[in-house]
Amino acid sequence: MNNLFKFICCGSVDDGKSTLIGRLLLNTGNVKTDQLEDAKKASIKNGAKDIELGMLLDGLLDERAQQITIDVAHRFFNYKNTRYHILDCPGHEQYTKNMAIAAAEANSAVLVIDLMKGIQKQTIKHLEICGLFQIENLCVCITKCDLAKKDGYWDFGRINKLSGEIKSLLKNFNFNYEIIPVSAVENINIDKVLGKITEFKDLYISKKQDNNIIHIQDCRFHLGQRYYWGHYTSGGVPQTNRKYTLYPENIPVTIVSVTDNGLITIKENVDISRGHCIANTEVLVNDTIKHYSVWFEEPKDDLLLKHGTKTVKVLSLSNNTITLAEPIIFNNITDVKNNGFAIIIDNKTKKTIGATVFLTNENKTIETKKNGYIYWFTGLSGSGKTTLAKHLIDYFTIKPVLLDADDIRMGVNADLGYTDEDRIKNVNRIAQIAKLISSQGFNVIVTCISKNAQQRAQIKKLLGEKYVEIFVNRSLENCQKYDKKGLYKSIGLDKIIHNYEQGSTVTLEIDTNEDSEEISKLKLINQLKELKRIE
Amino acid sequence: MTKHNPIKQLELQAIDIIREVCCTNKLEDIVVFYSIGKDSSVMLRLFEKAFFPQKIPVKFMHIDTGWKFKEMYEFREKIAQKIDLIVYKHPANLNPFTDGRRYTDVMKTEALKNALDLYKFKIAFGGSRRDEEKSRAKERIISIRDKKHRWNPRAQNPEIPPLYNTFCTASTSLRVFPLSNWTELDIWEYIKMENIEVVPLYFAKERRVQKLESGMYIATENETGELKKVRFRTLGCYPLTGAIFSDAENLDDIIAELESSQYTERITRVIDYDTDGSMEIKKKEGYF
Repeated sequence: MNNLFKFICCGSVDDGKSTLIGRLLLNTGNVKTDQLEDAKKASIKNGAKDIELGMLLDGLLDERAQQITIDVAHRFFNYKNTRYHILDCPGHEQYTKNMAIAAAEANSAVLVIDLMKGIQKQTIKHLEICGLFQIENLCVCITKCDLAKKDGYWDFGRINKLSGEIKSLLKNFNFNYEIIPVSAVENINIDKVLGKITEFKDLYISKKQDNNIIHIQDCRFHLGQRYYWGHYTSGGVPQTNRKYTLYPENIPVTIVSVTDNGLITIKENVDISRGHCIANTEVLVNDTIKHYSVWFEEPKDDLLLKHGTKTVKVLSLSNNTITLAEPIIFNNITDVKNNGFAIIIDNKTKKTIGATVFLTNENKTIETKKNGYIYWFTGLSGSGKTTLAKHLIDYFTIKPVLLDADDIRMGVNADLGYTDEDRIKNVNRIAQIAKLISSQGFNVIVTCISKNAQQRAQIKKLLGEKYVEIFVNRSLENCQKYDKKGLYKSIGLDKIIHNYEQGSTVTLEIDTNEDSEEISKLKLINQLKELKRIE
Repeated sequence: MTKHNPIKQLELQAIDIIREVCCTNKLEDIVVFYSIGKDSSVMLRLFEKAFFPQKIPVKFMHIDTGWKFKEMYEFREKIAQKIDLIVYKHPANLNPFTDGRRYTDVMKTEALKNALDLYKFKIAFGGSRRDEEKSRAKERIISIRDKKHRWNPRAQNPEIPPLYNTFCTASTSLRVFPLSNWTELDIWEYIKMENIEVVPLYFAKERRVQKLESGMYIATENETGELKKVRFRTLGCYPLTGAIFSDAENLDDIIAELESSQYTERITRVIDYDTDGSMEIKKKEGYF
């Protein structure tokens, strides 16, 4: 065995993850006869005719009975001189957090998507977590291809359609990926999946990891000699006779020797104890950190954060900032993954209740924003403006002010009718209110059909560079077809707008004709981020 | 040493876990379970290396059933000279031949819990591996047990190695498994790499055996037993441990044999084969 490689396996519940892993173990010769017999017994007991591959995995009695995976399971298989360590993640929504924990440990992922069900809410959630925890390589397996046969062959029309949807979804992320349709039951394309995983392993190994970050566990004395125990957080065993920096003091030190059992000795006579850090790469030292956290339990007042070898009290916690009683030594997760996260422990129960990812920006210049942004959602009635606007509101910690044209018609604009002239007045007044609010530093979200391209150009002029026009594009036919609120049935014909004019002032367009609501929401946030219109 | 030598990586990970738990807790609260088997031999070496050049500052404990192999007791005597070893035996003195399942429940599970309470140990290291059994695939490296030492799979901490929550409260105790990510083969490769001494029963030799109804062969001290060349993949109490036919007389042979074996080591343990999910039930009751 020459290598050790970890990857996670995730995907929505019942999308065929256990079956695929069972197949991988079986094909690589990692299932022993007695395990096979056990799984067969259990399958038949559950009413199956023959062995169900998933039965090779699901261990806990509850899980077997319910046929779901609750907890992350650790599986190993040997294949061509490498030990593969699969972090097998639960697909159920209530166990998503367990998946986040697994993603922190690995750099590659296998994601399963059921051909029959397509992209699910959980699929997107899992992708977001993979992105957040800096998963680099992704192998997407379209599973259960054997269930959608046409004249005895796989239904490639269906496979290609889903494949296209996945590609369009993955545009929002930054993965090195490949999509492979598979059938674990019929044992088709499993070799391709194995090939991809092997490729990820090679990529991981070829990647240089020169940067050493060592968190000191303890200082030990023996026969007048002082030496240190350390966590090799990044870069493995450090090289000797090299210059390193001691943090938080920020002074240079030299590592003289590292013994076989990991005892570090330092040339300089400096006081080093648990919680110090020695590194040859840039690290951050701070007590106020921007973060993103996943919670296993509702956080209470009395919390501890553990990072490296340091456990410190949490003084305050908001949605995006955490303040600690003492500074810690860390990196942004985007810079050094292994030094970019922490666990949060409830000080009373001593249980781990959360995991935190560090996202602090280097330049901490606090922007003195004069005007707030105006996110102007335009498009036909029933195109999805309000749904997307509400999603955007939820994104912010400080909630933006929502100006919904329908609401404004009930009050401020109650005097206006539906003539062209009145419609223009209606939109102009909304723009004026938005300007007023924006000028006081608040973000504003407007949902308003505003079909007139020329008028939108005027609004842009009025509102200036903070104006963000979001065109929610759904055809009239589709708006009528999916008319959930019954708008098109209840409103008089004179009020229906048929002729939306596309213009040149649009900042971004969200096409809701094809994409599901979840994908549209994701695209909105990601594209706004990309355009740097939200943080 | 290369960073991608997996055995070396597994060793460093295990040493890291041992050190982290030991330097964040009171040493008198900590005990290392010692079963005389191969995993225990590896654990002992890892503890030696974790603390070298100092001596191991924590106690070891053997839960004795009184029914171990003679060679195991001899081996234990030798090891006891090197480490601070407590031997605990349950006073019930049950017998595996006549007491059946109750023997295991009392002499192993009950005994383990009694010993922890008696010596007031709050943190117990064990040599269990995730590849041993399906319910263990879900086990944490640091596993929380309640006051009565019971395991609740749903009440475990999320764990992101190497960030371990090593806190132990008044109402919980911890089990720590530094060998979680090791496989049986890793254990033998490490034994070879480190030249670790193990009980001679692991090596093939002509021994007296007796065939059970299940088809399993067990060692016997009865002179009427058949003489066969066998070895043991696991060591437990002698009527509960199956022998395998083998020619593996040294470490290289054992490694070669394992690489081609079609069965897991658990096949030789009677304790796992009572009921489906029996290891999980035993863990919930307080077993390792």
